[in-house]
Amino acid sequence: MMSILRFEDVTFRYPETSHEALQGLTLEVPRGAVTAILGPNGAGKTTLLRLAYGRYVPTRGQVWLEGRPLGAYTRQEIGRMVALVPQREANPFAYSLLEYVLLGRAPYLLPLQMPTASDVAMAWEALERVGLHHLSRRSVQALSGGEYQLLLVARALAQQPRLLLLDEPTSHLDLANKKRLVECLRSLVSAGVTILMTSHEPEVVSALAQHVVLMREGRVLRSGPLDVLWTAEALSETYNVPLRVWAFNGHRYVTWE
Amino acid sequence: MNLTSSAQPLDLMARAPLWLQYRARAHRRLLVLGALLVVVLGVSLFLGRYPQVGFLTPAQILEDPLAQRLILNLRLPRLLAAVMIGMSLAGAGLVLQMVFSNPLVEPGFLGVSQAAAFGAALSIILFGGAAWRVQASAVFFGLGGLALSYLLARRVRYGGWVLRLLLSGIAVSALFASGVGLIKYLADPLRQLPEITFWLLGGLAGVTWKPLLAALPLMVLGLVILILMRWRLNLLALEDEVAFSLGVAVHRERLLVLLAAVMVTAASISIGGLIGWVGLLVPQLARRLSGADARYAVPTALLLGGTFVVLCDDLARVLSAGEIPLGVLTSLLGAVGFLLLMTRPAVKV
Repeated sequence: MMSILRFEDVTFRYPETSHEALQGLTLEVPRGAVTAILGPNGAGKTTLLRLAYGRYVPTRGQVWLEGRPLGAYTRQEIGRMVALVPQREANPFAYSLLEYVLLGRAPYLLPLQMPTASDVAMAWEALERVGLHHLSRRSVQALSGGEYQLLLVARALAQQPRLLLLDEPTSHLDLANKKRLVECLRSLVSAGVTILMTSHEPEVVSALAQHVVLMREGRVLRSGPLDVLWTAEALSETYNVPLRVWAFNGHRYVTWE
Repeated sequence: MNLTSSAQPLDLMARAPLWLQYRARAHRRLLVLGALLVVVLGVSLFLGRYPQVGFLTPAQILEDPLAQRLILNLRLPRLLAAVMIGMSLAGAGLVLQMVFSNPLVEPGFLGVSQAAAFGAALSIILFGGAAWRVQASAVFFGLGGLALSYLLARRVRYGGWVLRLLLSGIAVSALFASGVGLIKYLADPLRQLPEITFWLLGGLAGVTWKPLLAALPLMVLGLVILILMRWRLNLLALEDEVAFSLGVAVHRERLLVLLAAVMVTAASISIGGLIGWVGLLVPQLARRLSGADARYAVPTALLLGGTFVVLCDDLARVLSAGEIPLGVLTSLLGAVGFLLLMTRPAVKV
């Protein structure tokens, strides 16, 4: 089976709104690769992610995870397969990094069960993977923006997911931290994790993704391999502004016309 | 991915020795706090104003039958009530702070305290203040206050779930507070008003075994729920989306712990009246001591809360011949402690 996640003619309307956030959307997310969703604000990118882990159920149509409808899994089962890295996350309490990452083990624990030693080891390993283990006892409130984003990735990794959802992961990071995160995500993909992310940043997408989904007004305009779709025409149509794509040294850059 | 293969439990010593050290320290800390509570309880049992201000001597206990009865029938239930109330208010405060993701929330939110106060005051003017009626009415209205806040929150058309619950809690509190004001205005100023006032100020002077035992099951049940769910509380403090993605039944689990918190709060109010600041100060202090992880913050808060209220009640009993209302003391010490805590640089986590 090629795709890990499949949207089949999905229409979705938020409760108590009249406007359809997603309209008849069909989409496949290929396994073992990075798929990036691009599109203007309000195109329905975040909504698509929300449907991908079952936070909301489609008004019409079906979401398939590993060949089964998402509704056929329990929440905990989904939590063991799909992990979310939200765009922003506020928490007023001064957890240590290890305590916070340990929360990612929740889908593996019974409601009254405490995390065991192997859960701690797993959380530690997730911290190691994003390179924050030397700060394991530091308070999460003492972290910089870049480190905090890596921490959220680590918590998601503690879920041992097959599919990692990231909502604009680099949107408020400086260049150095963007690079750090991109490299970390690359190493995850080579370890076999599938990534589905939204992004507003062409340089991040072209450095990381193999597949792109171009969205506008709740619909998929085009989707396919980055090599094919990364054209001035497709991107200009998506954002409704004239854009230009430059190739240089194997990198591709997007600029305004 | 190969996160699983290399992480064996046996590796833990090599991988996270700091964590083990940290956990051992957390356990030691709990042991010390537990011992402190036991010592405070033991000392308090012999402390009072009979037959002299200060401690009962062993000789007096052996010889004086009145002293024996005093300890068994008055001081013991009163001390137990103080411990349970302290634990309840501190535990409930911690739960509310976590569920609302706001360290400045206390059990009075959600309208519970004011509703319980209204229930007690109503019972005093309607039925003349028979203890069990006041108590039952306080619990009934306290739970009713929560239910009202909850139902109202579902209808509020503004903000997320947490903000809506907070807003409706404020409104419900104000509603019942005005009700209390009205009852005070209507009450007989000679017979009923002093009783209502005493109750609103909070105190354990009248506590005997009977009211304590009546409230005990509710408190024990609620506290057991909180203790069992203590690690899970961390998940309930996360934002809805994140908690959901971790497989948590966010609404149902939050409702369960809120219900437990309200049960213990209402039961506490039904015995001791309004005792403020414990639920705000003690969880803050507990987090400073044990770190934010509720797995350790919950037991720490319970032990500290019990100790704090027992000490305050000791002062209330001993300082003057006419008792100082307990609620006044907890507010005074709580507010001072809170100011100290807030102006101090953060203790190491």
